Amino acid sequence: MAQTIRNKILVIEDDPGINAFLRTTLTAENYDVLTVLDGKNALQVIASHCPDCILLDLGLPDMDGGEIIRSVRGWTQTPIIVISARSMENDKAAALDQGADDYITKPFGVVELLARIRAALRHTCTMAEKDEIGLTGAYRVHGLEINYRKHRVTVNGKDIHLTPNEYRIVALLGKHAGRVMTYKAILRELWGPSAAMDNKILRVHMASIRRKMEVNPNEPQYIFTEVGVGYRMAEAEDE
Amino acid sequence: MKNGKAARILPDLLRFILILCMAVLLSMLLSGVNDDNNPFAMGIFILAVALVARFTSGYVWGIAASLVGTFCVNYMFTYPFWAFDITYPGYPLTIAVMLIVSVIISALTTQIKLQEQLRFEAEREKMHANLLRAIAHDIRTPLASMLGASSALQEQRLPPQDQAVLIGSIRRDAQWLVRVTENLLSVTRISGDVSLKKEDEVLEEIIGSAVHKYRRATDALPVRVEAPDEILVVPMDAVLIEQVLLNLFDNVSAHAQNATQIWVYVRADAGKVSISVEDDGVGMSRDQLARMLEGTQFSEQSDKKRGMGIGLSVCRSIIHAHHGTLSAGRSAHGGLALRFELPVKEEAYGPDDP
Repeated sequence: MAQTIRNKILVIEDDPGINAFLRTTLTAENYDVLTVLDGKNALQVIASHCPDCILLDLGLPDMDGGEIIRSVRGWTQTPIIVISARSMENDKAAALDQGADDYITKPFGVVELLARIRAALRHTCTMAEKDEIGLTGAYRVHGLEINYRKHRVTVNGKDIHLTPNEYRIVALLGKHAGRVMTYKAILRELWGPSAAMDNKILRVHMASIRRKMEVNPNEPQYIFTEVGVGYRMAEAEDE
Repeated sequence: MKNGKAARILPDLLRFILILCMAVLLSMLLSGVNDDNNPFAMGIFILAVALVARFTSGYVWGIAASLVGTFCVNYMFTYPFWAFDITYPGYPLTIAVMLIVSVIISALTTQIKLQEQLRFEAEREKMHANLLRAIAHDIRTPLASMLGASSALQEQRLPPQDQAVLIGSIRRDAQWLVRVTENLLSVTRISGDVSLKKEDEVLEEIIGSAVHKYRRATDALPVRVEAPDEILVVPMDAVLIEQVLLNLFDNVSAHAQNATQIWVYVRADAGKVSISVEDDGVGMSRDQLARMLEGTQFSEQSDKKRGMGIGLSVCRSIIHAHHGTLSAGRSAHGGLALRFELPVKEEAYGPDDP
């Protein structure tokens, strides 16, 4: 991706230290950076500047992060990456279910942050144009291929025999590769909002999928667990 | 507090009724033996009042018991029998004695309970103070080194390779402080009134995630996981158990000298799973092991080397909160083996579609 036009990133964070760190890092990476310290200003800046990506701290003093997500999602699909502390799994999951695209846990390193931002920006690009799946009918990462036309999954060319439900889970994660899907979102997408499925059944399905796809289910390469939140399919950029 | 009071009324009432009924029964039995003025009745009821005062909370039950007792003695066991006679000369004295007994015993009981409470609280205070001291001790050193390194970077003109060394040390110290705070947060999560957020988790997911996170640390060793092929579903607070695994991995990186590799062995036994984290480092003496597991090592050690005291004692509290056990031993690979067990509900899980 040639970056002739610089992407504009809005940082909504009330801590001056982290704010400064983000501004410096992102500016050095050739992004245009806007920073605001509270929720009220954030909403105004989003409306007037239309950033390409939003980094949102969940613990703002004046406004609940969820409120900002909902209000932004009312009129734009600009990617939102939530910044939150660990041991707040419920808040992360809630933020994702309210429309945030991804989250990053404090404290985080530069590499991780930049990877998340690139992934978020890439997803908006692919959504606008045509993504790989739309063009080729398949998602590929490392040796894994999910063929959406033939409903077939292969690893290094070898057929993986998934049950229909297992295929649906893998296919869904593949479509959202690189991003966390919460348990709730997966269950809702696959079995509808009122399904009597619970997290445990989903987890057992996932264990079975991993036994078929991964070399060692304890050290997955394709589908990662975000403890307490959900699952994430590997992307080409993941190491 | 209100709820607690309401919940205590019923058992107190039951005790009150039970003790008084027994007193009446006993007096009646004895009055069959001795048909006179029943001198023992009053003694029995004083005893009953004392018992009520002892085994109920507050003054009300004891006082009520002494009133009921006086009435019973007067009505049933003094002449005229089965009649209430206030003119009986000892009557005011009986009431007075019973009331005094009940008040004294209630007061004593309340006082004992209060003292127990106070002692418990003092103990807890002491524990908190100890923990705080250990933490302050543990974080002071890295903070001092960070401060020193950053001021050197800012105020001195250093060659680039020296700068890189200082920056690296700041980063390592900061990482270590992050681990300390994560552990402290875990402690608050268990020691608060909130119970664990237990869910049925698939064990391999938690291990996989912990290994993944551990690998991102700068000084990570390679980790090999060996687990049975079956799907192990274990009820747990996933975030906390992940923390346990991370602490055990960190413990190897920080303390096992010459370790080159970490092994994780998972075994499923009847009703429990055991997870053993092992290394091929130098290991520890039996004495060191014992002290480390007891968590008595934290304050002495932290000056020399950053103690994992907090980390391991957090592991222990997390595992205890899960009704599991943590033990240490020798690994077949030559180093330390830290093993913890978690109880599992016995249930069969089919991996396939419902």
